[in-house]
Amino acid sequence: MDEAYIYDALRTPRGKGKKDGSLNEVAPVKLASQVLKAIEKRNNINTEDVDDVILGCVHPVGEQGADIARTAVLEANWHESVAGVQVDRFCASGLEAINIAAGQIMSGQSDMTIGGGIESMSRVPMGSSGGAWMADPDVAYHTYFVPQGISADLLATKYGYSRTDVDKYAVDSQKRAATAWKEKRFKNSIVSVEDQNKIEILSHDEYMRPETTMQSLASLEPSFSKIGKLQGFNDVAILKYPEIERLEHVHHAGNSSGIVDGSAAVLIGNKEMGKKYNLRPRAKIRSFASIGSEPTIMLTGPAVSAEKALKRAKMDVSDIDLFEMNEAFAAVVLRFMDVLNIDHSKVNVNGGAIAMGHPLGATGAMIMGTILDELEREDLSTGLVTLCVGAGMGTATIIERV
Amino acid sequence: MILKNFKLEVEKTGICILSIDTENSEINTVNTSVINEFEYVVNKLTNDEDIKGVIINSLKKDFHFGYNLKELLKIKDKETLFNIIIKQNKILRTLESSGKKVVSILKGKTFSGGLEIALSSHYRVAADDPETLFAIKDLNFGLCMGMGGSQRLPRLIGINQTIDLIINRKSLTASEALKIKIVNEIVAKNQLMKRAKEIILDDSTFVQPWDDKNNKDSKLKPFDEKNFGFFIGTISKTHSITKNHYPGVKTFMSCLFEGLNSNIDSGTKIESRNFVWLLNHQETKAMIKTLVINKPRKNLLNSSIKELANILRKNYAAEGIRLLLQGVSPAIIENAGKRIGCSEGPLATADTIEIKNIINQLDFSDANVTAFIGLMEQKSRKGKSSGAGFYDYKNTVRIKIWKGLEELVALSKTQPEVFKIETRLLFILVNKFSSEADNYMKNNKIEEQDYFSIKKCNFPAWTGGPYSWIKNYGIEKFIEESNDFAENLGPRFIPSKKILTLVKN
Ligand SMILES: CC(C)(COP(=O)(O)OP(=O)(O)OC[C@H]1O[C@@H](n2cnc3c(N)ncnc32)[C@H](O)[C@@H]1OP(=O)(O)O)[C@@H](O)C(=O)NCCC(=O)NCCS
Repeated sequence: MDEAYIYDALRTPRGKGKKDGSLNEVAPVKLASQVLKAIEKRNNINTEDVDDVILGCVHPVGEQGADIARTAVLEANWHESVAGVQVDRFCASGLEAINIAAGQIMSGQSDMTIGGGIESMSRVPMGSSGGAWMADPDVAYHTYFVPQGISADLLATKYGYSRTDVDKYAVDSQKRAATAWKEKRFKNSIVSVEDQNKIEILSHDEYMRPETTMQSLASLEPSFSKIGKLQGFNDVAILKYPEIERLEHVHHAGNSSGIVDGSAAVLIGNKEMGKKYNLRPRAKIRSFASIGSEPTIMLTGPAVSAEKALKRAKMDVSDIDLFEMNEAFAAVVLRFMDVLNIDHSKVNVNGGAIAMGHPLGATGAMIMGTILDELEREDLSTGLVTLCVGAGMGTATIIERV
Repeated sequence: MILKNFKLEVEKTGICILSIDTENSEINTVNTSVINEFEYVVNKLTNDEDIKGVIINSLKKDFHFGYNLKELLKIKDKETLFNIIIKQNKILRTLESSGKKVVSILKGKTFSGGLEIALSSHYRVAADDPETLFAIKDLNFGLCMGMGGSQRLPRLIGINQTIDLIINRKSLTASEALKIKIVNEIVAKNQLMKRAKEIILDDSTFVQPWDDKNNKDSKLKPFDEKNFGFFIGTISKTHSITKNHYPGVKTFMSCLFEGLNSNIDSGTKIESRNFVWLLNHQETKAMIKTLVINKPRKNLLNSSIKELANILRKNYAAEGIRLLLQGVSPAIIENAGKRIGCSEGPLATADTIEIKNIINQLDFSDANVTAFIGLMEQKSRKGKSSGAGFYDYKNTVRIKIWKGLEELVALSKTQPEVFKIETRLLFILVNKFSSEADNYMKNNKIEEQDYFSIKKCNFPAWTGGPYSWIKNYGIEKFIEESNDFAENLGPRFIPSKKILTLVKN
């Protein structure tokens, strides 16, 4: 098996995913192509050497449809020989893209690949791609479908995370993200988004609320209690989990992942490609794994996928220096840390999606860049990236600096 | 062919009056011989060049029309059944697409298949009469449409309105039906035929919306932005209410989901497949047998039937308290009760009827229950009307299980699986009903008692009543397990003589 090396990782800043968000003006294909161009420029590669560009995207419809990866390759004016494929593993799409890209290198079928992702949630809103999972009555009944927010509240109820627990976690996320930005810890990885005149549109994560406190969060109403009651989702969750009397709705806009726009790309290649372009490998992929888990509670997959990836790498939880566990909802991270018995000081040390937002298809690739930068900054060695995934899945990747 | 169920009159003007009057039945009923005759009649008139249009009329009081369920249930081969349903649907399709203008005149109850037939005509004239009503309430006995209604109705009035009508089992008056285009026109009862003839002879066009190539109505598809949220919300809502029973509800939603992304021909096939599946479902069969086929002709009830309903509620509540004292968590007890189809859990029921009122249903094996009720009284946890019981209340609205319960009872570390508790609750209800029912109703046949258990004693309808439920559960298995329960938990589980005689039959 060949080694798959990470040579670079870049991302756009995250724009607020609403019509008044800065990146709402930018079409998704342009967000994706700008990151590809930046990768090309910074590493001075001849794009003809790139075999495949794999981009995660959760709503591949409308302007994100018709294979946005290949479209972005063409829009970036890369060589026409570069293939492109869009993948969807819901929230872990960006990480899955990296895993597939790495897999191509490891199996010796490609020499250089891109794994990344794109999501403009302000232009192609969540839910746009429909799906039999929730809309085919046979499937929805059979899987006890509830939306992610209800699953997050179910998880919190079942494992006893109170409103205080989840809010405390959210305040930490905001503080950590604020420090990271203040100390310019992301500067190596951010590509400012520009218009066709090279006028800068956005250069920082604009969703953040560093002033957040326990008191300011306390005033927020739970986001999922109304649909949970009115549309029967609470009762469907309880039908699946009869040991629960009633759902406690603890998640709200301040402790759930933010809705944002963004894209990211990670350059992966074999040893020869590094030599050819005189690139220093920043890390190698040790192992990766995806798993399926119970779909109604939906968000318990990360720990299981992490364990599977650890086993493949013949490693133990204690061998990992830093973790990035996507902050889809606060309770998901709390549960992940409890199951694997990991201290919060090793997890999401620069904040996460609660503070900065979660551009669905791109997030996995973004937090890969974040962990890489942080391992280098702290001069640590191993990192594990994982995300919870819709319909009950988890994806994890372990990297090691070289 | 000698017509026994239809009458055909062809007038010189080219108008054909097709009157339905199925033999030996109070309401128009479709069995295989009716379908054969219907096919013959429709082929004949659609091939007759002299006929311009057809008026469909019912010679009975109502325009009601429905499959003969007794006959259909006897058909064991699913493909045979499917072919029968498909044939009926093809007849209606032939009628609406033959190039003849079809007008139906509607009076009395246009229910079930009656409405489905009316929808396959091009124009519907209704009698201006308070007795003119429109509905498809087949979900009441577990069934869903089987003559194309699930495809024509949403294509005519939209998905959301169809869901409202069918899931909520609404009846519409003529003017309500007019408002949402289920009927095209209302006229005085004695003008129906005259008006229908005028319509046939005028030069108005007649193409069904689903056959109109220029019709791009976006109300149609579940995935349209306008419908999507409501559609998935309805799936969830119905799932949460039916709690994995009453499969007709899901089947109806499936007909919409699968059928509306298709055309009318594929759509009616989809509906027919769903219909056959549903008709073969054990719960549907049980409900149809009890609520339709064996519906009692005579009602010999007296007012004490209410007392029987009360006894059942009290015993249901008492069993909840016994389970609690055995260490079962309140959540599992309450959810088990709701999962078998009771409107509230046993402990909530105890609160509603006032906890102490249960005592007269306890027996010698229940000393601990009596003591516990005394303890609850001491703590002023008397029930709903006093605002504190097993639950906390806020202005008589139930909030959540009282925290203090955890100090009064020791809950087991390992909790039983919920279906075991469901079974136990059903056993207590069935045994209690069976040993008491003869004292409270003069109808003493088991089929009659099944019917009244549902209609008068809130017994969950999906079971088809206690006796149907035992039969489906397995009579011998039920008796054996009841005896086990009786040995371990008390004599209340001893099966009645009536149940024991089921084995012999
Ligand atoms: C939770 C969720 C529904 C909230 O959406 P929203 O209500 O549109 O959120 P907003 O950002 O508009 O915030 C709502 C309010 O909370 C306030 N708020 C948000 N974060 C806050 C914070 N940290 N401190 C104080 N107030 C805050 C906002 O000011 C806003 O108030 P306003 O309307 O008065 O301005 C949405 O973020 C969500 O769905 N997140 C999960 C995404 C997801 O499911 N991803 C895929 C699966 S992981």
